[in-house]
Amino acid sequence: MSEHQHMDLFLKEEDRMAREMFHGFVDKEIMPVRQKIDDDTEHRIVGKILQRLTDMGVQKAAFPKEYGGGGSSSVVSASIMHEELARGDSGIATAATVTTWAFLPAILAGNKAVLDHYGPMFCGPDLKMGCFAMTEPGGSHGGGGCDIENPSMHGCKIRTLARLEGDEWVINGQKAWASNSGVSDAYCVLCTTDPDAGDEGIALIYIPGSCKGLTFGKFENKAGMQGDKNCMMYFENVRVPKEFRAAGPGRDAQLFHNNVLLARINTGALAVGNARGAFETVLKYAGERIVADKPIRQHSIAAGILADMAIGIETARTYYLAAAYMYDNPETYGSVSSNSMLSKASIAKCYAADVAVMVTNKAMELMGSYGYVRDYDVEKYWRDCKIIQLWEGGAQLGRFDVCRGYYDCSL
Amino acid sequence: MLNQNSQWYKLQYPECFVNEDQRMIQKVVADFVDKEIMPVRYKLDEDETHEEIVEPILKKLQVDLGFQKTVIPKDYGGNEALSLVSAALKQEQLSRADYGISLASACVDWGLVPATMAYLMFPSVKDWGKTVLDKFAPMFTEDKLRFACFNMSEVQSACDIENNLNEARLIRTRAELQGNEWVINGNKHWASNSGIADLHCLACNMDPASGVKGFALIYVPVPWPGVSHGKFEVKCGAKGDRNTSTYFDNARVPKEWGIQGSVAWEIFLNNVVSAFAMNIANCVGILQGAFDILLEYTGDRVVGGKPIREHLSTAMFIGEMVAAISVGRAAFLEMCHQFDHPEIYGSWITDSMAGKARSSLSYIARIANDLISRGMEFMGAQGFARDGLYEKYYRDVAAAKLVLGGVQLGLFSGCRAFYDLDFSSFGPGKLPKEPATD
Repeated sequence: MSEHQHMDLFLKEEDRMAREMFHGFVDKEIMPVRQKIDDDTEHRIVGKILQRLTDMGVQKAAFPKEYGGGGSSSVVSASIMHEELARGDSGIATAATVTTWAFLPAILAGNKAVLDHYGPMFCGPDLKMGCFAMTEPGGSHGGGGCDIENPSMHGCKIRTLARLEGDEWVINGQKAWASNSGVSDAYCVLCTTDPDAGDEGIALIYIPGSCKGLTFGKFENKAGMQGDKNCMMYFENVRVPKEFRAAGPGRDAQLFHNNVLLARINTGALAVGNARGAFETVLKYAGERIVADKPIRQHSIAAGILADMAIGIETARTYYLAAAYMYDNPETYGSVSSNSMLSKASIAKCYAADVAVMVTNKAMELMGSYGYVRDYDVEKYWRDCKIIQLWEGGAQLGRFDVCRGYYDCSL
Repeated sequence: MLNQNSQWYKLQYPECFVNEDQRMIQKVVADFVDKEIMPVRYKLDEDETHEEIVEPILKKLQVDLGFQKTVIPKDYGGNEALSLVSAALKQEQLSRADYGISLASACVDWGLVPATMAYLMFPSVKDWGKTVLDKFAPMFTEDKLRFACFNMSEVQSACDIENNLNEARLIRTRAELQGNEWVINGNKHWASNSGIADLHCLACNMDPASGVKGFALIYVPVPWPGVSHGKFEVKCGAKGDRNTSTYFDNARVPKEWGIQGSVAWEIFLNNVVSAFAMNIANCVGILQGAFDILLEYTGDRVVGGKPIREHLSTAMFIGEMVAAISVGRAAFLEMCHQFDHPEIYGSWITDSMAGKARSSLSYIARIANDLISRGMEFMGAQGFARDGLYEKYYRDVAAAKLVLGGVQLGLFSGCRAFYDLDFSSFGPGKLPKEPATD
């Protein structure tokens, strides 16, 4: 079945071309090594793949053209890339795209100081990494991931403090779990200038990876998604120029929530790609494996399961594309910073992540023990996709955000 | 920590199913688990050779505590402890900490039970049991860690072999009688403890066309001429248990180490069916282990101004876990009790008994998988990291629904208790069946 037909509604010609390009890239560069990525602790394989993606322009795609970037602002285009890359490895897809995520606030705000400083570096030929650090360890006060990403909290749980001293921001605090943490050249860090100031206190501040006072914990040992690195980050009197704040009081909060919203759409796409990788694997296996005298997929029970997988993937894709298209066309669909848009973006993520978990789980079931071992790939997709449900505030906050589109949800 | 004096405990393990001796065994294993496995469970995945952590644990469990000789008859210095209730209580406790270690221990019993069963319960093949036990039981009663392996699945088919309706016709490991020897050729795959076992109980076929009549159960020690192994499988969990391919290339063993025909098939089926009840206990243990972590985490972690478990959406989920643990535990205790009393409940291998055991496992395994997966959502990224301990249970429990032919086969077996569902390769319109007689 052609995958192009239903996507024509949302995709432009350049999106279709990009989709083919990334599809071919994944087949050539990622598929042959995907079983090795879990053991690539030094990211030698991952680093080479990321460099090739840099060669293809992924790293600079969203930067303004005056800095040598691609000037791309289409969320549809970005989400298509997320899906295609995640079909090979969702960790690599995450590592490759988080850099753009980190710089979006500065790009949208037109922050000249940040873009002048980082634009040439990130639009150059060399692989550079960016990180958007928002989640904190939490504790008895709350303040973990879902408290910080929760728009109802208005930044009151953020404990990473930014204090203006003369012409510098002085930052103290901790961040946890951020993708590309510990390996990035630049960090966009969610801070507060005053937890009691609500959204006005929220500040997004750019910090060089080599900055004095910035240190890292050990890399997290995770169940999957090893193509993306995560560790604790410690800020102890880190000083950066005051111009490195993305926009300013109020506007930074908007940019922060916009980033969360965008991530919901893009990680919906990521989940779909992950599910597709598993589905393609099990579809082939079920055609070759004989049980009770015929290929597995010719048994009614397996056909039903495969159909459920396909239904999940197709509907999740349609939904994230619809959400991305609406975001890209605010003149028709309204403000991107509305609760309605947040709700749609959250549906895209929650639904697609659940689909990915379902698809990979069922794929493993159909493959029996083969689904459980490294040599047959499905277990990797199964391990990788679970974190998609958990990040960006987790499955519960995602659902609360869905509700915000329908009623005054105070959770 | 298992508190046998609490009302909750008494309600979970009622006296109608669990006697005092069994409670003692349960307590010994529970204490062992808390002391020896819990503190190192997050390191088990890294112990690739098993030398540093897994084998020392198994040595203490199997040898020092004596579980290695559980099913060996008293005549041979064993414990002859054949109660499935006792065995299931042990497996539940072990899986609470590590499913792989639980499997490694259980499969020693599983490999030895056919010989013990023959020796104690099947007069027509008592000599076979005696010969095997004479030769190999001392190995398992000495002060050294040993492994046994019940080796049935093959590369081409697992659920086709475990499907009793196929009557062994799809087993491709050939056993041929030449004079006073069995000559064995073929491949086995996936079996727990394969690659490290000192003794394999092997499911073979002398002639696939003759079905049960050609089925053979043969003991093969390792190392042995003509027997070799592939690399260990790289699995996503349950790493305390090792699996590999076993290759038989004109492996010759004495004729007395094997039996054939319907009695061999009956012993084989008994052994397979009993494992379903054991694995339900494993699922409950895994679920309990995950639950304990989640309960503590959601009590400590504050979100939205209060501990996570004080939010009703979380509380409802925790309640679901409590229910699943209680139901699963009741299921395996009742089933094992019924297995322990065939004089009341009948043969283990009837469609009713096998259907109940297999479909119950499928049901509990799926629930355990689903709940552990959903439970991770309440821990966020902490649930995904090794340090949080929870992700290990997420990876381990997936194996529990794949073993023994998988969930579909189990559910089909449940249907057999109610109607004549033929899900074999040899049903109506397929290959003609031969009478299953010697």
